[in-house]
Amino acid sequence: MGGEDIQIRHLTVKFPAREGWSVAVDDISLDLPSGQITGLVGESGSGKSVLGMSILQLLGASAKVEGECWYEGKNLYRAKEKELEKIRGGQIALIPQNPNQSLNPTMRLGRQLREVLRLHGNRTGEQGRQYVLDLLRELGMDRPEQIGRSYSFEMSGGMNQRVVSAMGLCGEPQWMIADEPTKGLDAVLRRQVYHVLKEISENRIRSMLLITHDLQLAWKLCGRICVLYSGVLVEQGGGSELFRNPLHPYTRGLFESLPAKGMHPIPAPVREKGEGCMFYNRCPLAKERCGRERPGEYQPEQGRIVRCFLYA
Amino acid sequence: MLEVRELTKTYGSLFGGKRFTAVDHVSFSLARGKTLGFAGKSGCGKSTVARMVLRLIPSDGGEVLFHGTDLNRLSQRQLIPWRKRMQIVFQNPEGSLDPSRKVLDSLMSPLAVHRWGNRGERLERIEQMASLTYLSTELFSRYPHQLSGGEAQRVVLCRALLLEPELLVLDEATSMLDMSVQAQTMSMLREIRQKLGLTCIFIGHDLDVLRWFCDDLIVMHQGRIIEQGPVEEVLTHPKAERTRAMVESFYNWE
Repeated sequence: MGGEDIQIRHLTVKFPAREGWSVAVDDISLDLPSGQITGLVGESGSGKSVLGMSILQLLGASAKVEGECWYEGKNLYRAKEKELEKIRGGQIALIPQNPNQSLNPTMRLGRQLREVLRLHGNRTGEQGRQYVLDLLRELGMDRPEQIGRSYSFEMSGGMNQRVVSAMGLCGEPQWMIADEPTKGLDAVLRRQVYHVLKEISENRIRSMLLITHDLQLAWKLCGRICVLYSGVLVEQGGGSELFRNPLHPYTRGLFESLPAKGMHPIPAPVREKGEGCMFYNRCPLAKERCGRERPGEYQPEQGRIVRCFLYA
Repeated sequence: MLEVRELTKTYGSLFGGKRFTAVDHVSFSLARGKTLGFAGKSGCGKSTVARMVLRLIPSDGGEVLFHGTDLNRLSQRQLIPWRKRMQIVFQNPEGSLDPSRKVLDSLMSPLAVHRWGNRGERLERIEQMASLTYLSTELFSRYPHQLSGGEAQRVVLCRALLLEPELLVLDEATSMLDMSVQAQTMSMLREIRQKLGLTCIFIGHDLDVLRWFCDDLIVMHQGRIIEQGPVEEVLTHPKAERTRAMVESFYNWE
């Protein structure tokens, strides 16, 4: 537990495109305070997963990462592979999207779990086995002894989710990054994942970055929420405040699109994209200025940051 | 329009022993222009039903009457003209697109397979459907891995609609999409359903989405239908214990 804050400064991530570069994350500076869950929400392509993956340098060689990510006095974007091996899983764990695809289908789950324990080298043999069994039980698995000889394809998505979460916890990290943990799950499993994450955050790892488009999950779990649109951080605020009173037109649109609210979509682009605000071409409240000029960060109330001229 | 009787599917166990019944004597009917929803836990057999209706997988018994013709009795060759009248969209759009083919190429293929029009006409048709599905023509020259999930799903939808099917099966088609894209896709689907007079089967697990899109709802558990009726009725006054539990776990997390 404990651990330090993660501080991201001027992060820009680009991928090579046909002509020049495609910008996935556009100059984001963000503090992820330790001891609480920060939610990163936004639609697909908004750059939220890219931001999460960048922290552990998991983006692959074609990505061009600029900026800094400070953690325990180290800039993770400049860290050497050797250092990163220690940080990955040992200090910051990633629970990847899609647990079924993250497990090796040809290897029994027990062997995969032992491999993780061996890599972190803190527990071996019977001691390691007991530790993992306790973990799985804590995550709500009834008979964890039975999964060792199973393969991932014999398990449900929810079961695999717990196995992958347990793997993430094996190295006793201070931080956990959970990438879309409820994507594509049915109602029962989704609620289970909520309970698993709640359990982890209360008893194991307090510092968490939750990347999700599941607004209900974010609302239930996160102390702080950051809203991403098109690679830009458009709004930040305390979880409950943000849900009670969303400020940015995009955030409002996001809430209106919830099935419970009648799924009113954010309009498709109604005008040409300008030089200014990323949301300009879809914004129902856009003014002429929004197309010309990129809005800065405004602070309409304590703890809320919005990138919109409405609050200038 | 569609009448399903006693549809059944069993699978042999990987290690021998008793066969597993994935779908157990499922019967229902669907009138033209209506939308029927399927709900239930993952693994309850709802997708298997849909796949058997389109005969993407063979059934082990029962009848699928489409306009009175039992599709189960047709040969693969006889089935071809029926195929274009029913289309399906799956949950995972990336998995539904050939990674080595550009978007336009993938969109061309159903028209080519069914020998629809000449190249110019095909292009025109694709552009027409692309605008219905809010698909920018800029995406045509991309490969699937260069698309976002929402874009990829719109490509798949566009492709499914090219042949103007009568029956569209949406198998958790929006459950991998985020809320705003889902809202966009669903409103688009409702619009298209109206315009083209589509009959739909919608498999999903977001009860609010099912409520919003479907006329009737079937709830399945372990291969059987446990409840069936108008969607609002089923979700507001569930009769089966399992349905009650499903509604409860969806709306109440504590």
